[in-house]
Amino acid sequence: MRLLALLLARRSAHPPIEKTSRMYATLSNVWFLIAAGMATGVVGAILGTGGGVFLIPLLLLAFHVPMHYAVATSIISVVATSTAVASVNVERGTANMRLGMTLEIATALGAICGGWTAGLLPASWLETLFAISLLPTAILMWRGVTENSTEGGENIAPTDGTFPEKTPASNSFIGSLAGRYFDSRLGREIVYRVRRIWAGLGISFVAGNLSGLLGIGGGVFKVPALHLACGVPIRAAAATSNFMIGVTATASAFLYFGRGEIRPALTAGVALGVIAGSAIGSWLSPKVQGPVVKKLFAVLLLAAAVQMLVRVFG
Amino acid sequence: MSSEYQNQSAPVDLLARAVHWSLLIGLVLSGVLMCVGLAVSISRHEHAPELPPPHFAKLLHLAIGGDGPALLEIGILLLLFTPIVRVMVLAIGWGVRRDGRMALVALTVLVLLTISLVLGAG
Repeated sequence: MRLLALLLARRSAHPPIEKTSRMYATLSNVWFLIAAGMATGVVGAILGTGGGVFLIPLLLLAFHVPMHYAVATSIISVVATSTAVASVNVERGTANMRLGMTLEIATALGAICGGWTAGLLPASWLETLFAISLLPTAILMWRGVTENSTEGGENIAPTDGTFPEKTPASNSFIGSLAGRYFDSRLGREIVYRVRRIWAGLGISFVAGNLSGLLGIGGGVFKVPALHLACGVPIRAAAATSNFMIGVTATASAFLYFGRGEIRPALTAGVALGVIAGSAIGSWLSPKVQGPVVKKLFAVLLLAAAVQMLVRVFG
Repeated sequence: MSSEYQNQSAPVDLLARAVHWSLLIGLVLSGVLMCVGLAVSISRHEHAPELPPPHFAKLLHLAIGGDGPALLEIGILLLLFTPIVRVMVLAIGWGVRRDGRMALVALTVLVLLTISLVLGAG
């Protein structure tokens, strides 16, 4: 029963990358991979992240999957999560499609650069960069700038309960990016302007680059940035970031696919687990103590970062 | 929330609905293909050859023939094309609405994704 080992064993078209026999696994690991995907899907949905920051250390440290394959698997999982969640957010109106599409120019460009660069770097460099990127991620998670924090943004909805046909300054390009949605928790309409679009584009490029290079969605950076720099309310920022992540990840995924770093069984098993886990996590999310869980996983991320650095330099 | 306010606050956005369905259909189809591919691979003990990804036409031919790894790869590719279809839907939708600026933005994203596809295929 060496199916998974054989499925994993396609030679890459990119010889300099380190891919060792440590990646070989047994068939029973298929189920463990589905379970791993499901666990990261659940955690990702509860914490409001794509789950890549948890999936890659898990694949790397528990399953001994080489870094490039772990990144490629995570990228596909991110596309799956984004597609599933965005389809809901778009219908609810929380994802700002105009803002998301505009920022996708920067994220896609960044992701192509990141995906291309990843093909040139040895696995140990990628692991080091990933471990370093976990540190600010853990800090942001600990501080809790997430969907559950204060709403923020400038609500410019009229107070008479009417729904404005057009937002202010909608004739200018940045004005046309303004958004609106109904917040069921607050019981009212939120209408907001977008400001400092250039800052948003710059941050999106960096987030896209990290996504392409390290296989993460980058939402943990984008959401606070959209909220704090561009004035987008946190719920809309999270939904818009998730909306963008699918295109961002796709932009770099083709590069990984072309290099033969996407292993069919590994990727499919994890992606299916992530899709199922995201659904379970969305259901569990209101029932768990968000801040406590976030702090717990922030500590876990720090531990994973340390272990990865020890693995590289130890 | 009054029914009057509900009517005002929930305009039917056909474009959002089209995007929703394009994402959902892509996700379901790719998920089904991946499930079938995984099941076939396990039952037949099939494995991917130690080669770079085959040409798409060959991959499709293998998938139609019930090859497990090919079904998995087609499922993964279908998942990757889902966000591209979403961008196309928005480009067409904004074009139909004569929103030239946003249609141009969507077309720019499509060009970038095409570049990525060409780089990956090359």
